[in-house]
Amino acid sequence: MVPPEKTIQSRRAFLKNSGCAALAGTTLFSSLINMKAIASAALDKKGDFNDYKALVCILLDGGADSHNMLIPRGNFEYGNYLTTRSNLAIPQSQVLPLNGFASGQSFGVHPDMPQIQNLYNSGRLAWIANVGTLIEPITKQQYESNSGRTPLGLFSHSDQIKHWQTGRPGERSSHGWAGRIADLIQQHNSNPNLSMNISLSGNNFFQSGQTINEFSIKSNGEFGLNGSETQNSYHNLRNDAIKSMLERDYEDMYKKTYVNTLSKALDGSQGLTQALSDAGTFNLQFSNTTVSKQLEMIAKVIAAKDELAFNRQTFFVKIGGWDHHDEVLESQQEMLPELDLALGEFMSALEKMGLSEDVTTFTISDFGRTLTSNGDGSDHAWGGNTMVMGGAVNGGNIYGTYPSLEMGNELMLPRGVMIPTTSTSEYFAELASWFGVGSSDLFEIFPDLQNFYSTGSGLPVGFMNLSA
Amino acid sequence: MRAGFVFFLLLLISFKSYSQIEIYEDYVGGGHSEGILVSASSSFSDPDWSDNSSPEHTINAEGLDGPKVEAARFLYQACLGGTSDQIDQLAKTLDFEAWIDNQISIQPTNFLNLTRQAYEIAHDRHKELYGNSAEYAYNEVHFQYAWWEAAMTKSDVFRQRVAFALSQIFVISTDSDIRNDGEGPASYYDMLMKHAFGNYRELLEEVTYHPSMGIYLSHFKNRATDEEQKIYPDENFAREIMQLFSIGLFELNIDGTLKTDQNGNSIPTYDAEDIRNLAKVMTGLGAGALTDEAQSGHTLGFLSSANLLEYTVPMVMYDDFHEKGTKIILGDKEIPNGQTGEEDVSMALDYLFNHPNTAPFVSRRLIQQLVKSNPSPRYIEDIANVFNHNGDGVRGDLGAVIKAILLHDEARSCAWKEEPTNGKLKSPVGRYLSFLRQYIDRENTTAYWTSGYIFENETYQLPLSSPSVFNFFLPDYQPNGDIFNAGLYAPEFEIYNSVTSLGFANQADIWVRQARLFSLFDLELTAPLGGAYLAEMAKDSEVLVNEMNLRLCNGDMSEGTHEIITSAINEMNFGQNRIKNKVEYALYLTLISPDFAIQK
Repeated sequence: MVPPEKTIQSRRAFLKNSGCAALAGTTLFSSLINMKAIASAALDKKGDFNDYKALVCILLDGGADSHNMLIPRGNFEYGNYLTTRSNLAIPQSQVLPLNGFASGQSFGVHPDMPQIQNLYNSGRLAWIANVGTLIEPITKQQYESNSGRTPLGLFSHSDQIKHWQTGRPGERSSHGWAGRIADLIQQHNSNPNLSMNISLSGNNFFQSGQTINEFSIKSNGEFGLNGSETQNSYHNLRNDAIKSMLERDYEDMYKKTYVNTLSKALDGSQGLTQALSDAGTFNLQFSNTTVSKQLEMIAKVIAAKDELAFNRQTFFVKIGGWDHHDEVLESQQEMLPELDLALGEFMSALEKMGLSEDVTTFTISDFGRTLTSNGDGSDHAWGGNTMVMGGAVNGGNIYGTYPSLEMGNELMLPRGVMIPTTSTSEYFAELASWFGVGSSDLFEIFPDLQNFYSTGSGLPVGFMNLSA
Repeated sequence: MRAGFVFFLLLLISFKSYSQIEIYEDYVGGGHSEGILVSASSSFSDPDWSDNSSPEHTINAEGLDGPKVEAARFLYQACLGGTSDQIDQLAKTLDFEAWIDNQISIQPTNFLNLTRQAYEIAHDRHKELYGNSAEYAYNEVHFQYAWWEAAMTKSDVFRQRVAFALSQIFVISTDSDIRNDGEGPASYYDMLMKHAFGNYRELLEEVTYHPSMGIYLSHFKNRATDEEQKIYPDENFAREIMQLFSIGLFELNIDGTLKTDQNGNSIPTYDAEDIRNLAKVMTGLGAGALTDEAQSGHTLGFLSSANLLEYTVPMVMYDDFHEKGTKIILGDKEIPNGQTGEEDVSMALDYLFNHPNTAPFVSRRLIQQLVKSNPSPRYIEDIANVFNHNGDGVRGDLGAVIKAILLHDEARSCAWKEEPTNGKLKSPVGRYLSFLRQYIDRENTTAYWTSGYIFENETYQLPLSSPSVFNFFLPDYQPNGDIFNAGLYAPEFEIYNSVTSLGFANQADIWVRQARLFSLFDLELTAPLGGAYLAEMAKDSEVLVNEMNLRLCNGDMSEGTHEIITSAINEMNFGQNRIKNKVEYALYLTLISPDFAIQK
């Protein structure tokens, strides 16, 4: 309702409460907020990169039941799988076979992962078995007697999802490993207006560094501020006013954070729109599903890498809904085809663009799930299986150690929780090595890596081909 | 133009030199003007405009906005923004306690009824537009219709605000397996409304037994261990009720700071064994009733499946499916063998309720929702003490807790506004709602409904639609930069990024410039921009911007922002629609300004 009478107050600028006005200046911003010095770490590999590489991180949000994505197929191993998983087991006959053997065993994938089966069998995709957050190697005995160090907040979504993005399970860090890498190398990328870390799923730890934030985009390609390109007298005044508002210095840290983000959004989206338009038509076909559209958008941005002047980029996609305490079989049946198809389409697109060796795609998830059933779902656990895809991947193999799934074995905790046999530090360090991070920086970025790996012993896990 | 301001300050200071004169510390022009003669330089002359403000009004407070600013600030905290009338009304008394007491006494809005009505009306409207043959589904959109209609038309705005806060702590989401007809979320919301000023212990129990929660965190039809089949109780609800609804991960002091062991490490409140035991407690709950359609042909029982479930009736305990035996939770809290399932659940909830963490844990979350992102330890402690003891020997009195949060010095005193840690980013829903309440054209609005799909897509927020049980944002989220470097938190920034910052601005563009405040394309209903009185004010840019400063920014617009907006619209002095354009651009610029976005 319109106010009954127009209440015209003084034209004088607002007087706030004078109690407030009188107090202004009594507390100094700088005396309360102690700015931490941001250490400037040096990159081993100095100088500009002369090649292009991108990492694409796919987060299966909620903790995917990856024990039903990669499945042992040999009779003996499948027997253990069946007994332990009980009513959650995929029938042996439906498992899509993977070529060859890994550690003398045969494996297959979930029946709704035919593209992944094909990518694996043609050497373009690898699995990493039983990978998880670890500070140091730990045995079941050590775990049960509390005598080994374990990740903070084991089995908790909010903690584990963070660790899987930071690679620092011994601390509660907000800075992800792609963010830390960006802190080191953003200067070697020559685009000042756009973060090298682009997210299709908003804010995330993975891409957040001490100085670099992710730049979020939408998969429909609509970026930018409505009317920022409109040329009329009113809009020009509006746009100038926005510019003035964004250029001001704000003492208030909330206002400053708000304005910085808006400002970067405006600059970045203008640059990105221009680059995508300069890069020309993008004709590669993707299906009309959420995940395919997200990966299509990533492919489009990669196609504009020269226009954007990037040598290194990371991308982040979060696919929600993998926390299957309920109906894990039905839900995976619904969700895996979309993931499977999108990965296949993305790989084909990169191959057609001639960039398959320059882009490596990998999956992460909060944790593996319990092997045992809770009726029709599984619960939070620890080690799980992940995928790495790309032309620089030593595909067609399963890395790490696929554990025995027999109940109560020396790696299994109650409820069928697997103690990881490969650490996320090793998994990520290998990807980072391929990306160009030198060995001393690796140990900076992943402080626990030294407990699993020392330089000179080849790559931490072996799934990447650095000479590709 | 600001000469008067300087003059009054001098006046105040000169008072202070006479000790026999009472010193007022509320605000200049607080009405203590007897016998003082003033003059001021208010001679601005716009040919279209006459300034009505007189020096007398300025000094007797009628021409100033101190009380309105205070009222606007309080109403944003207490209900995500009052209407102009509500702000003006409250400014007369500034009796916040009376306002709270009155609000608590109002009969709660019934969201289930409102959702059903919205469905009926929308269904009829759809038939009218598209004929009988067109399919029209009953779904969660009708809960959204009810939510926005309630927010815009019902008088229990304070209770609604608290329920919205609770819905972001005791999270369920329609982005889930909850059956898709609007009644599950509506019934759950009514439960939050009912207990908004009730007792936390009863709230926790009704949350536990509510079918929407049962489905959302999957303890519906959770059953006892079957060792032979290797099937074990579902741990989902057991984990999250501890981590998110009651005690949190680590032991806390009463002021919300972390307790530490002798090595300086934080102390976990529970371990995997506690979770497994609490999961056993949470077995045996099944359907309390079947839907009307399901009642013919199905018998109610533990095995009744989710698609037959009546969401408006609490789940019940089926003891045959409840795990027998002793359960130990929280390290040493025993739930003895031989009790019924209900007794087991009740005892477990008592342990959580009486845990020393619960008061600071819940208090901090509520403060962060309503008032500020970084409450001082003393603020948390004061509120936690009220949680533990409301003054009448009652623990968990949420009415007392909420009241204490809003009346606390740290929420009320202006001095706290100057504290650098003070403030928070308003949530997108809060910013939208406060704008709607001020500027929707109520006379020409045919329905206060929005599906919210576009809004959610652009801002990542919509009631009861969070992506997971961890809400839209975490209480401990730290955006990079000054806030992170200071070791502080700013939860709402977790959904603030290059998509949503521009997304909200683009929404504002649609609301203001395209005059579409709700997206109701399919039902062809209207919700246009109102504020016709602004046209009169637009004759003087400063008056116009002052109005928006008060109504949207709670008087916190900085001189700089004020100047930028004022000079931009001053220059828009051309074209036939100049007044309309001035109003719209001033609103748009205010809506994207940091002064509106940040709540101080």
